[in-house]
Amino acid sequence: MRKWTLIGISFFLLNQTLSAQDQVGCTQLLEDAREAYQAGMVELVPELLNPCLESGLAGEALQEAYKLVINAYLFDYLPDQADNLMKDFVGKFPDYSTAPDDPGEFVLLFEKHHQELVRQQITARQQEQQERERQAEITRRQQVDRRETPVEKKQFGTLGFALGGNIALPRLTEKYSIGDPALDAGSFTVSGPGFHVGGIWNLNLGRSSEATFELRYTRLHLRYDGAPFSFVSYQYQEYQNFLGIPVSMAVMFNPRSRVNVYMRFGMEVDYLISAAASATRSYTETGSIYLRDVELEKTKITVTRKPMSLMGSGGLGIKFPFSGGKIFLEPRFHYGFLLSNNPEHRYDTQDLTWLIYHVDSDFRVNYLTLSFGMVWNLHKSQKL
Amino acid sequence: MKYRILILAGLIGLLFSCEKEMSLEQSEKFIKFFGSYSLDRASDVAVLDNGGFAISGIASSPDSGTRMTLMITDSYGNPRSGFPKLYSQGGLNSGANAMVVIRGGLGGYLLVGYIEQSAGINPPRDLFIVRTSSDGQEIWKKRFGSSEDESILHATEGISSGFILAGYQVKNGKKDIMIMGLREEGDSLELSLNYNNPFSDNASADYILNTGDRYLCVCTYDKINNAGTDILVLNFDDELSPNDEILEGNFDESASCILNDSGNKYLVLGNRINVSGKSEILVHLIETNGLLVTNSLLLAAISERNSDLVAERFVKTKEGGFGIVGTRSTEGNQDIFLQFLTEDYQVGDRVIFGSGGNQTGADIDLPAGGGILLLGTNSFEGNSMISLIKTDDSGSL
Repeated sequence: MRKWTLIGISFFLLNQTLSAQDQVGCTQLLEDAREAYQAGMVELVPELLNPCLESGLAGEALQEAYKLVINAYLFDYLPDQADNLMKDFVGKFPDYSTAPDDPGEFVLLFEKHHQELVRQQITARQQEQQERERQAEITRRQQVDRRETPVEKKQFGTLGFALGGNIALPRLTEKYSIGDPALDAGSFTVSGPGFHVGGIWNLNLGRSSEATFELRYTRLHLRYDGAPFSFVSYQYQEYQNFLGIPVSMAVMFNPRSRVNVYMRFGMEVDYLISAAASATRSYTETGSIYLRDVELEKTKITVTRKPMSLMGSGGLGIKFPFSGGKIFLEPRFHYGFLLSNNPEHRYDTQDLTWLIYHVDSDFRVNYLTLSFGMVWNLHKSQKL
Repeated sequence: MKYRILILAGLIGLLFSCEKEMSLEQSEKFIKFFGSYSLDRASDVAVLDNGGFAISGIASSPDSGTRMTLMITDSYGNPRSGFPKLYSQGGLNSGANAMVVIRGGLGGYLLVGYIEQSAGINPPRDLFIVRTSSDGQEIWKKRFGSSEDESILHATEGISSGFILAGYQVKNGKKDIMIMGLREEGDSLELSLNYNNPFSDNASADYILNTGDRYLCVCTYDKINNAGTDILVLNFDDELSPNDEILEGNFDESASCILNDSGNKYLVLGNRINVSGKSEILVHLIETNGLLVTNSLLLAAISERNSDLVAERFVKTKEGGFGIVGTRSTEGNQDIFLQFLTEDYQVGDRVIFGSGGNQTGADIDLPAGGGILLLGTNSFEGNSMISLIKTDDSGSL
């Protein structure tokens, strides 16, 4: 290792020594050439200095060597050589300024080449600038092209909301009673209205039909008038709050018209959030002043109702256009397929049984809704 | 094609499905009320051979006062046509405290209780017995009594014939045990049980059981020197000469019911006022050997903090345990309870029925098809009705 290190150091020092010797030689040759030029032996100058122009001189020494050789060529009527060498000189020393003692021919030749150099530089810069501008223009045009490519905005559906009122129309499937069901005149009657509100997403299936997905909160109001005995009757009111996911399909009767009339049919799954009931029992024609009405405040009865229900629905509707969407009005009938009451918990609400004399009959809930809503158009872009 | 038509017909049928007749489920569990807008009270229930139920009690109306009543229902608890029947004599107030169902209802019924001696407010009562046919038609009725109060609290068929009645009679202002026999035709037997207790003040024969060859009657019995009451068991045959066993306790105790557990083992149901001043349930075991009571043991005392538990009747369930019916009173509110006792006499679950107002338990029986039948009275303000509850075997509705 040590041996190789010594060899490397020896080669480095040898190389440094040789370079120093070359520089010393050309400097001497430059002095000789200067003396020869001053002595009028101009033909010797190129011979002395030409090798040193390639290597051996630098800086002002090199500049002087060039000037001596060029002047020697000019003096010796060798304009082509002078011209070629001046070209190199201007290339290597573009910032050179002519001195007062420079010969006139040298100055002229220098100016000629210098101007040529400046012109070339200007031209080169202009070309570069033009190239940059051309590239920028290409880029700009590409961007513009991209922006201005013709596209079609296609409406694929609508999104909006609906709200409205409803009327429950429960359907008794089997009557139960604290008295004899065969003699109990109890029945569901039309109750006060409930309400519903929710979001709607319509998806176009074609020009004349659309699929509709909704998420809807509904509050239903049910009323049952019971008469388990001849001397007593009661009024039972129930409130159901549920969240429904109706899925339906609408078919337009007049898809090309601005105002659309449509028919809708579908299914929905409802999840019961809560149910509560209140009731009042009254004695009829007893003549007793001691028998007062028995009232039951609103009581939670959620456990006595089925948590899920499946419904079918159908209705008619009309849509009016407005800027960016449509307004619609739609009556719809909802038909319950499953029992609303939970038979396993028929007697769970003891106050209803023991105080009001009410027991749940088996029933399904149907209801009629009238909805008003607004939907806004949904678009998607498509390139031609 | 036919397949599609069937599906379409099914869907249309579903769409327009109407109310259906009563399903069998309505007979499996129910709560039924009977009565009017006045004050009705339940006393006794029995399961009939035809699957229906017989109920006795007291019906009342502002116009005619109280009446001994009989209600026959189908297995759904719905009254049969022509019921309820009301029984009285001379338009006087009457009531049924118990009922004997003869041959599962096919042989008719014997209703026992009281009839007031006159109109007016709280007149003395006489014994009142009505024999009816299976459809509730009155065959005969009898009235026995003195100038003082008498009433029949329970009755059963006689060992050989007739009936045996248990209740109380008041002599010189002292209420004492009354047990008497009755012929099929309603005439009283010449013999009557005379259990003389000079300290009697508030005694009564509360329940009588026909064991097949003798009777076991549980009574509420006055201790000497007015030191409260104990439960007394009388063991006798048609000779009406009883052997007695006093189930002594340190508190005021009263008898409610007795039933056969197995062989010569019988359970006696009673109540007592405990050291907290609250009523609790007592279950005693007695063992007999012929007309002798050879052993007695208090099996269980069932109480609830801050509540009074008053047991009325009990039955032996199909699983071998026991179901006790009675009334729980908590801060002025009364509910019916169904207290289970396991086969080895451990205290089991308690199921409560009732809400606002007062619901009192009166009797219990076991329907042939399973489940438990509870009889009670539902009262609210100025109205009370007889209530009949049918649960599953666990007491759930």
